[in-house]
Amino acid sequence: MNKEYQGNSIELRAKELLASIQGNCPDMVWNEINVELEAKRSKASEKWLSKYNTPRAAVIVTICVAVVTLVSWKFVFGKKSTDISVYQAPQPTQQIVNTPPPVKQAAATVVTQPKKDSVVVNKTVPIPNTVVTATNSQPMQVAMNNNKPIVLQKPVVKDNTPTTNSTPATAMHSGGASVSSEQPDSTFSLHRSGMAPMSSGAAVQDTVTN
Amino acid sequence: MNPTELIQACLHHDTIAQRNFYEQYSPRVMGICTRYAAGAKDTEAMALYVIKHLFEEIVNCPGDVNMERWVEERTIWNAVEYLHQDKHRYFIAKTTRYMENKKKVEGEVDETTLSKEESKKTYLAALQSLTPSYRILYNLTYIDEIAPPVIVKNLQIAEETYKAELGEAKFQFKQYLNTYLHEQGVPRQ
Repeated sequence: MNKEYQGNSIELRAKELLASIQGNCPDMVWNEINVELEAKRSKASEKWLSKYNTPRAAVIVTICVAVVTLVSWKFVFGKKSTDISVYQAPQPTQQIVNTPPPVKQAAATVVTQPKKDSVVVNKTVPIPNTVVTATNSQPMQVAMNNNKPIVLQKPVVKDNTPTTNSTPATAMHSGGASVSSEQPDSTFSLHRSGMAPMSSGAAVQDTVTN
Repeated sequence: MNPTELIQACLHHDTIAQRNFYEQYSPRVMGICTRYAAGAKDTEAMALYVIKHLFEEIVNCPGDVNMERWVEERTIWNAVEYLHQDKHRYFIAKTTRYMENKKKVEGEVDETTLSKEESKKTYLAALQSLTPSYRILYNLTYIDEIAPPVIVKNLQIAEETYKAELGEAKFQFKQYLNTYLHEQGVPRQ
């Protein structure tokens, strides 16, 4: 210290006696301080809560929004995909791919069992562009009626170009069966005259025996 | 609990740590406040003010072995601040005017006949009899031994003012001391 400010013996004695002086704080001081500290403590905790509650609320709201969005997305697009798989018809392209190559089919023949006084009507559904020729070597199915074989008729298909083996109408008449050539191409009537019906075409076999 | 842990716990508003801090440093705070205050009531009010500010300023505490020194320094300057805020009693009157009604005791007194405790009480009474401004300067300069430039800077006063006030404080303290010693029957040299 500057000598100018140095004290004399009284100041040194005062320092010696009073510098290290200590006292007892009464409880009143601590009580008042504790009240203030408690207020600050609660204020700090409120600040902490307000600080950490806001982001927490934001996180909760974000999660809720995300869940709702996900559920709605799943609902809308999930249902759409289900509809496609269940209800939608196969796409044309798929049909083309999955369909086997066309096979030449003979027209289906519906054979009704002939009755004595009924006329057997053969309905033949022609398949366009299908040519039935005499070279068809497929054996014909034989139906039995009272131990009499009934020759199933091959489908009569009108072709634009008549085959060479087709039976003329006059020949049919000689057999007892009359085939009306005036009938439409696909259907004709067969009138029984004591003989089994005959089919036209090259594969006709005369198996009827009276 | 070491000082660093104590500071951290106080910063986290730990009640036990705050209580420990209070119990550990309040006697020293109370002693310093006794020197700067005018009486017992004033000492309690000042101690309350100082300890509150210590809890607020504890974040700046170094937290090592100098913690006690930090507490003392902050107590001193907070006590000065308390006296500055108590403006209705501060700078109202000069000690000289205050002393006009006091009976002056001339000459040196021999205090060797007094015990240490009696001497302490006498010196403390003399110190507390000073006006706040003189008490501050006397305490800062002669008892706490703070460097005059620091005092001038912190009190924001001119050095000449400081010098003059300190001389007056020194004189008044001696006068009070003689008066008290005379009242106690201490013989003059």
